[in-house]
Amino acid sequence: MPLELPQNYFELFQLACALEVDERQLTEQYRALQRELHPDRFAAAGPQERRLAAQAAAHVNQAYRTLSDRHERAAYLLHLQEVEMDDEKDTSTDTEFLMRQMELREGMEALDGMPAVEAFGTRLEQEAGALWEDFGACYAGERWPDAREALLKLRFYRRLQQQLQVCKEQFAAG
Amino acid sequence: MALLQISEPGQGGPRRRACGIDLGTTHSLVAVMRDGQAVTLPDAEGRHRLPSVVHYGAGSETVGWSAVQAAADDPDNTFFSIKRSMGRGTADLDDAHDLVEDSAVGVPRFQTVAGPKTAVEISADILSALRARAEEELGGELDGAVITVPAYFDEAQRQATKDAARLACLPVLRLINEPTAASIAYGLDQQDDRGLIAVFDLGGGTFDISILRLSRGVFEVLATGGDTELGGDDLDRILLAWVQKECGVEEADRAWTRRILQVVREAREALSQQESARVDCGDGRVLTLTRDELEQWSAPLLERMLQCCRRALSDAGVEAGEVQEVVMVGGVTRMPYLRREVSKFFSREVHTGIDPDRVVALGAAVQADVLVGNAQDQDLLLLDVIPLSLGIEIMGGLVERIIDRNTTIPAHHAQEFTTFKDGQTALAVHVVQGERELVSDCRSLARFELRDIPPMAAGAARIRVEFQVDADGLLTVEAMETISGVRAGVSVKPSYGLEESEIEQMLRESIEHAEEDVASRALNEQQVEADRVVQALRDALAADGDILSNDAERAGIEAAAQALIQLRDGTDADAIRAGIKALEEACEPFVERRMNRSIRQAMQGHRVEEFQEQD
Repeated sequence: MPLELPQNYFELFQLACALEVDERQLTEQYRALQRELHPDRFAAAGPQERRLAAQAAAHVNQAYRTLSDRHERAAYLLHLQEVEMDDEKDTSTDTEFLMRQMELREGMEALDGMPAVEAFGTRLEQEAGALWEDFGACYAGERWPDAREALLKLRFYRRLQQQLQVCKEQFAAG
Repeated sequence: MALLQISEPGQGGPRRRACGIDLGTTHSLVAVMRDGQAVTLPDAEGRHRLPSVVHYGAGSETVGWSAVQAAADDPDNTFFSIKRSMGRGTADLDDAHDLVEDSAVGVPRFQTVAGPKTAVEISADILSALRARAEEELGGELDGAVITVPAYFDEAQRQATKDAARLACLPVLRLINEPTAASIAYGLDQQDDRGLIAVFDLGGGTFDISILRLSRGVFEVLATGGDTELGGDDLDRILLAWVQKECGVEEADRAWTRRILQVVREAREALSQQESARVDCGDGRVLTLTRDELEQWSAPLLERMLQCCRRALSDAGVEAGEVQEVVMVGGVTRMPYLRREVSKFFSREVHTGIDPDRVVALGAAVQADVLVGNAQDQDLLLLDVIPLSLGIEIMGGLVERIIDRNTTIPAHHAQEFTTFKDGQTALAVHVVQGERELVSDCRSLARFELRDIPPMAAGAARIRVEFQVDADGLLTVEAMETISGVRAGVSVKPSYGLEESEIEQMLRESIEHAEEDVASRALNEQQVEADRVVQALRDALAADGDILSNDAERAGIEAAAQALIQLRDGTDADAIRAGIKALEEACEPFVERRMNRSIRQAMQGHRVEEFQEQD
């Protein structure tokens, strides 16, 4: 791309390269960039400018989507260290952890009402929180394989949380 | 600054002619800006809504109210709710009309006395009627139009809408989503507090729910959901079945069905004001429909809508209680039952201040005015999303998603694939749209082949598939083998879409019909484009002429512009096209530098401190 857009997503949003981001800065900078670069701002311009604007806006959108999501952001931090999370099917090999996951899965299937769903959600949040701390420590210590392992484990929690959301909606719908 | 001196007198002065069009399932409207206010335009009899109905007679076609009248005597040549057939294959259609025999593959063609017609052509006739209304109001040819589509319209339906606009000779600035248009019309951007908005849009044939976040003129769509086959028409069909049962009619013919649908719709609409309504079934039979009965039958449809709402909220990552404004769109939302239930769902009063039939067209007119360049000081920006995930078929009939639903557009994403067999030299790329894991459960959009891959061991080739979705939500796909550099691509023409050659053929026919000369039409198109390009260049040089690198660059651009201006007044359309291309090439470095200046401004201009002061 001949455009002078920072390729590094954190630079693009003028953020420090870290797991914790200033979400307000992220959102404001996103809107500021789109105000200047969105193809609608070039609706009356020539086709070349419209093409370039579409390219720039797509890059900004992709960057914003990545940094807005904690999991994606963590994966991107590792990507910047040339550690890839490329395969969705890639999984943790920690047997103790996998056993725990099976327990949680069974626990979720046994949920019988909204209060139980809420309590289960809190538990998931706590356990995921501990893993996020783990990820943070590994990342700070530049222990990339361990950071990657923590993120792989967190994927299990993300899936559980998504399933719990579906479960919640079912209870809400009656 | 020679180039600026050749500008026409009054350059930048005259307002450009723009309109917003709501192309609806049952009714359509056109709106323009008048004295800073969006207004919908009435016909000579003062009626704003144009029924989306077209009747084909032996020598002529009629659109709107007169077509509705013709329907009773000639149902076979009269088309209602054609929007439901846009971008659809034969298997998706109901049997209200006979199809031409060769319609089994490709775009369905309906049998009419005026020859075979596609849904795109029928929609184009509706658009032409609206265009004429706008041009009469504005006093000349349109410079730009915004057409609204249901947020949940898929790729094929959007492409079909754009094709219809082309046939109707409408210069489309942008397709925008109906709910987004409605929230613009409510002027919710004028309010200071940034809030979450839900737009509940129930039309004749489609249901949409959109969740937006608004901040200082930026409308950011967080999620959208809905059902393109759920609307007021479905309610009428339930009522039709009830009448059929009550009257003991076993085989309903088209004329009877059409008449009863009209009667039950009137009864349904009347029930928004009263507790019961008469349903005159003809032959002396009159039934009574009560509001309670209607509400009872509406309940399953409402549940489907609320299900869509729950999913959209969850996709947006917000709770129903966080929504601050609820906007109701579409005539069907006049039903007290819907207002009550939706209000209950979001735990707040719903907005119904603007006529729900007109609100979409009004918002489209505001956006058209901004995009055409009349309201450059307007701080209005729409960040919309794609409603359905896009992906390609992989081994075992499974879908690999490339771009997820609710991704903000324009969007760009690439993914790498590899070959399955040793020595494989071709790869079939099948593009699909939908949320399900199996290809057979998704909508097929397009197929193309990447050929001439050098023979390699299985898994050695690196095939990069790139998806690009533009600001109208339309998709381009390209595949490239990165080791050899072999590439192939398509501008996705959906499986049930028209081929470029078919559109050109239809254009030619419509021109012959209008007794216009094909060559003069082509020339005119190129002249308009040339004027546009020169005008855009003038604006660009006026704003950023200082970033030209040297006099030679300026001289090169000016020479190309002068050449184009001379060609433009000639009669050779191809020469003008070449002149436009030459000018674009001459401008390329300048255009890039200009875009980079915008980027630098965006990067430097705004630090978060600035915004904090305004709070």
